[in-house]
Amino acid sequence: MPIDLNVRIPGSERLGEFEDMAGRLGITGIAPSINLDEPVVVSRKGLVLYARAVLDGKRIHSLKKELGNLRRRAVIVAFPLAGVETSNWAAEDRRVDLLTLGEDNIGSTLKESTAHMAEHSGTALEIQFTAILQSAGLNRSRVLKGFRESTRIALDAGMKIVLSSGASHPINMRSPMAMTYIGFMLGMNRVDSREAVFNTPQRIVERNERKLSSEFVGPGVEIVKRGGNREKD
Amino acid sequence: MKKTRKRYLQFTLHRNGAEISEKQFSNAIWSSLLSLYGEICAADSKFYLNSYDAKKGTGILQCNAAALEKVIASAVMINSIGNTRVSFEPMKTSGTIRGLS
Repeated sequence: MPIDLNVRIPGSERLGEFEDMAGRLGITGIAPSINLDEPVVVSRKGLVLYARAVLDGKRIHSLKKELGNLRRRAVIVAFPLAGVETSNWAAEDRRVDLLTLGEDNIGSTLKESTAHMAEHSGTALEIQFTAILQSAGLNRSRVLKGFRESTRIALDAGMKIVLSSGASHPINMRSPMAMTYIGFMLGMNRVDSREAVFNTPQRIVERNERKLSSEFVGPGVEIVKRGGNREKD
Repeated sequence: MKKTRKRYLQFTLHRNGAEISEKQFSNAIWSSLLSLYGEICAADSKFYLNSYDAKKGTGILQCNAAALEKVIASAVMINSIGNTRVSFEPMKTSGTIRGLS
């Protein structure tokens, strides 16, 4: 079940266009930037929409507050890689799912120390490939340099990688098979690339759906059966 | 001289606008391959557009087996051709054209 974890839909009135394109490309779920009523919504066309929240605070204190408010409302919580201090905090916090690299933070790269922390907490590196599609020449070379370097650091540290489109127009979305070839271009092998497109996004979504369910108590503790208040005779 | 192995790829070109001609599409892949991987890789790729239906956006391309990944990555990276925005979707690869059917 391929899922595109970052689709920047400009407004809810344009959701239909993205749904159509996702259907044509064989994508079964997307995490759009628009507000959803529930963390998980199934659209009329059968596409699963996952609520995505992006942490945009500049300091750790405000980020913590923001994260506390958003975590129960979104399936995906992402933090765009920025300064070392905030990136390390996000990498260490198990409630953050993705450290993002994309159009908005092209100059940023993943530090080795951040990658090791993220590997321990299960946070994945998200690479939004629209930044590559929309640049050319020397600019594209710079984008590729940053993305390839970060990919290598993440793989060396054993950190998971997620490839997403970050598309603000339906035609910028790519089929899952096409995304695996973008993975090759970023320096991944066949296994890592397929993992980044097919398995890791699916696992993150499943893990978080479980956490958001009313049966979840804490890591490793779930309510499997509710008992009644019947008294013994 | 050692014979190079060929690979065939069945694809769909999704578009948002006017039809893309075979010549335009072929040139776009060449330019993208040249820009991403350089002249030597482009020359060694032996890329050739076997068939292409401009209306449906479907077709088959062939290239050197060693360059297949690079040719596909280059095609996937094409964002627009002329004024038409496109999205390239690789469907199936094979060592023979018959294997694609």
